[in-house]
Amino acid sequence: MTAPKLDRRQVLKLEAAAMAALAGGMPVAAGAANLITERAESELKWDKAPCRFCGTGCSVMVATKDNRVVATHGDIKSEVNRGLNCVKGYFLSKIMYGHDRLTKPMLRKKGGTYDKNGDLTEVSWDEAFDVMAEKFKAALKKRGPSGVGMFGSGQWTIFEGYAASKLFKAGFRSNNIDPNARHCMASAAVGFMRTFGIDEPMGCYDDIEATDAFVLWGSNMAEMHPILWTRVADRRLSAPHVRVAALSTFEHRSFDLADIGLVFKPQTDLYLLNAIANHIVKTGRVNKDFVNKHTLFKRGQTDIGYGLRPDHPLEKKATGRARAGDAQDMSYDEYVKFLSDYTLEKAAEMAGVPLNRLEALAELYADPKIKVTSFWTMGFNQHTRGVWCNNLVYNIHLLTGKISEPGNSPFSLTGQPSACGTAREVGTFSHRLPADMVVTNKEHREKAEHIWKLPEGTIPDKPGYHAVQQNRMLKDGLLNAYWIQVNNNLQAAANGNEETYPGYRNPENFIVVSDAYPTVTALAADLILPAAMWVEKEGAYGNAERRTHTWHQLVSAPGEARSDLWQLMEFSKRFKVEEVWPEELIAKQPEYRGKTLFDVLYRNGQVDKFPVDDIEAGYVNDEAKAFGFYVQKGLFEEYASFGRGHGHDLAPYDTYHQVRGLRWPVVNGQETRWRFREGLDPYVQQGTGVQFYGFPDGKARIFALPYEPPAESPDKDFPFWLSTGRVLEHWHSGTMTRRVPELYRAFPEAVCFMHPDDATELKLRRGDEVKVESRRGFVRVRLETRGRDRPPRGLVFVPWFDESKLINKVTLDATDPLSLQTDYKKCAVRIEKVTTT
Amino acid sequence: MIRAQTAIDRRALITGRVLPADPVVPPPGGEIASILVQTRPDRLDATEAGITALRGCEIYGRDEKGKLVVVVEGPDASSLGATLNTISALPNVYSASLVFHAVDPGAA
Repeated sequence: MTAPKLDRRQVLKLEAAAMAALAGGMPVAAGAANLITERAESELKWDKAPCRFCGTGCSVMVATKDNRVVATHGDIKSEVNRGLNCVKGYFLSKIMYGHDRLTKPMLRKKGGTYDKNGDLTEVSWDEAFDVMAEKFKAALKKRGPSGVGMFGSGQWTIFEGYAASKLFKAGFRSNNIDPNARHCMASAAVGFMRTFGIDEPMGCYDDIEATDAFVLWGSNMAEMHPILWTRVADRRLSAPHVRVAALSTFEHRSFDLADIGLVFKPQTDLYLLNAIANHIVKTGRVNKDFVNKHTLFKRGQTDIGYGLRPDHPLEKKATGRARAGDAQDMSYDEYVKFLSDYTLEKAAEMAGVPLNRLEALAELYADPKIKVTSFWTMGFNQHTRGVWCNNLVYNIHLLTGKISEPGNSPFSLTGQPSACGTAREVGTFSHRLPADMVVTNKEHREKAEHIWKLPEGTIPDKPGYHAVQQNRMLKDGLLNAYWIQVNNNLQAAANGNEETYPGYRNPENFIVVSDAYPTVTALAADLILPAAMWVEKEGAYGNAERRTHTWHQLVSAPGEARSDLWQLMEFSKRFKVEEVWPEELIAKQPEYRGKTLFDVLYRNGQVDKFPVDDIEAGYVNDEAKAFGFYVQKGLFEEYASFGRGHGHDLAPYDTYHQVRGLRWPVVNGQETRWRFREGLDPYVQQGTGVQFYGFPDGKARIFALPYEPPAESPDKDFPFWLSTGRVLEHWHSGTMTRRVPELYRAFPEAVCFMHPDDATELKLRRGDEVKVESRRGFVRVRLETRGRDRPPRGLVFVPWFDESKLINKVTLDATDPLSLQTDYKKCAVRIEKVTTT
Repeated sequence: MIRAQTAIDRRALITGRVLPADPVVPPPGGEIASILVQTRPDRLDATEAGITALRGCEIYGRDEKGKLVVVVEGPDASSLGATLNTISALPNVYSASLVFHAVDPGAA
């Protein structure tokens, strides 16, 4: 360090400082500026890629050397993160290099052959696919298409989700495919469809710099979306009139910046939302012109149940269960009458919040001069009335006309990098097809069959098993061949002890898990397939603001690890059409006779249209090499034909390699930042001003939906609320972040956050080992009474990243009956000290 | 190693003994990162002092509007991630954004 001239480390430090100054809009030290201009001559190769983690969709510059990622920095050209990265960016150079990376397929074997009770043994890809194909064929023969299923991910690339959806919905003719986004985004997606008839936010991140007030509904952006939070904080600090309100069932880091903090009792958000709407009405601040022109009123079905198994007592007594999604027309006056019960006073009392703060919040929305951006994530979505919460927050924005213009924006954030791009837009849900189409609509199926060059009637007309239902059907032995990609559902699914694990170990079932690391899910599987990840393959993601972005393959995957895309397409070669389709279907398109699903689905003259030469010079592409054509481009272009001209237009594929993503609809080369507003969205007809064109009548729906109680509440035996969630250090189930040593050490184990007074009353001390027990199971964790998450009395918070403390053994598999998404935020537990003798 | 990892059964699931206790091994070599910190402008000095006191942290830039450029050096690739989180958890820090991160192959 005493060398007179700059050594390598000092150069790196100066470069690091210069990048940060640049990102912060601060002057760069003189010597450092030259370093940036000399970047092209340094020995590292730099390329852009979206971050692997959350739904924000930051762009990062990735440096590779000797087939390894060695450095990253925030991409200054990206409109999303403007040169910044959050702490998760720090994992990017490391996530691919954990010492227990899976590099060979592994099959449970005993005495040289497959045995469900055998040990995981390394096998060749051929052997792995042989056994897997045999099991899938047996399940298809035994039960038909309902016997096979797949659980995918919002971390799938767009091509992977599309190829998987095609393989299952068209190839196997089974709609039993669902993404883990069901646990994360489903309520938001159904909320959009129900209010607007079209999915995904109308606004974009540019709202942050244009708004006067931020309202966080069940979202801890400070820890979960730090880059967006940085932009929120910047706005708050640079414009003193800006206000921030944070609502949650416990206090967290985002409250630090909040002018209005509201910790409310679980489920009473339904009260608060209606009370704010009522306040707007009662104080005469309804934007009548907007409401008359652009909205309709609907009374939603009530008493809709909790998505539990049908024989559960709560389901038996739910009178509206069979018609959960129904709604009747109502008038504005009837809506006003419905709201009259929801006064601010009553809501404050029910929710346990100070009335003056609730009034201040309601005024942010009611005051026509204040532009409001509402953000929400899991607090709304993981909720047995999650769709209702989404509908109710839109009500507020619609009543005031505060929507679809810069700064006025109800904005649902996402947790996975392609929850929007893959799970929602590609339509990998058990009921969906690309571009917001659904399997239950005959025209939609016919359109998909036409684009896919398949005979009419190929795609089944009923929704398949959704995420929670898949676990139940595995347990009941009705779903027998099951493939899991890019997720860790044994850790993630609620009530794992009673529902998930028994299904995986059911002797009738064959479970396949594709992953980069040995997760608990992989270890409970019968066959593990080693997966390539992130820049080990070419990819495309779609972020929360409708931004589609792509990256090139930059390094090779280790050992025999292969991308999920290669796995799906290669596996499809093992099925002849005759083995999966009935004769009458084949007879409609006899030229497919004798062909494999690979031929029919991927060598269809469209997916294989683009030669390997189309790949940009200087980049490898393992899938193109394996199959002999530019797979990603072919899949993307075929997929894009679903949405072009229908409000979901994507740019030509090659464009995305040149830009830092584009927000759809991309029409005539122009992205769309705000939808439904004339002048900003090319789909809005001239003279309408605003047009919610998701519905043919161009109107958004305002819903009357009441408060209904949660599925399970604390009682004498189980006196505490349990909420689960994440911590900053670990992303979701920790598969990647738990393999970064210092982060593992920084937050090695899940803890139980509790109010100090509750601890005192239970004679517990910080650091004590406690048992968190529900009616379904328990975990043993250490008690934490300080720190960043500060629950109110009567509520505990346990994060779910820790595979040795599987809190989802404790949670309840109650779901929103409309979105079928699990409520991970509410169940009843008791806390006891573990006494070691 | 593989044998040890495959021992997942009902008991392992219930007791939480599903993976080896320490599944992570630090990579060789040092690393360098830069962080842009956003703090309360009137607490800039205190925040700067708090950061300077952390191991391997240096201030490379300061903006009176509440911004600091921090460069962190980890000689043994074992503390950087924790340092990032420590900074973001400091009092009055609204955000700490990573900008640049390099694994330094020359330090091994």
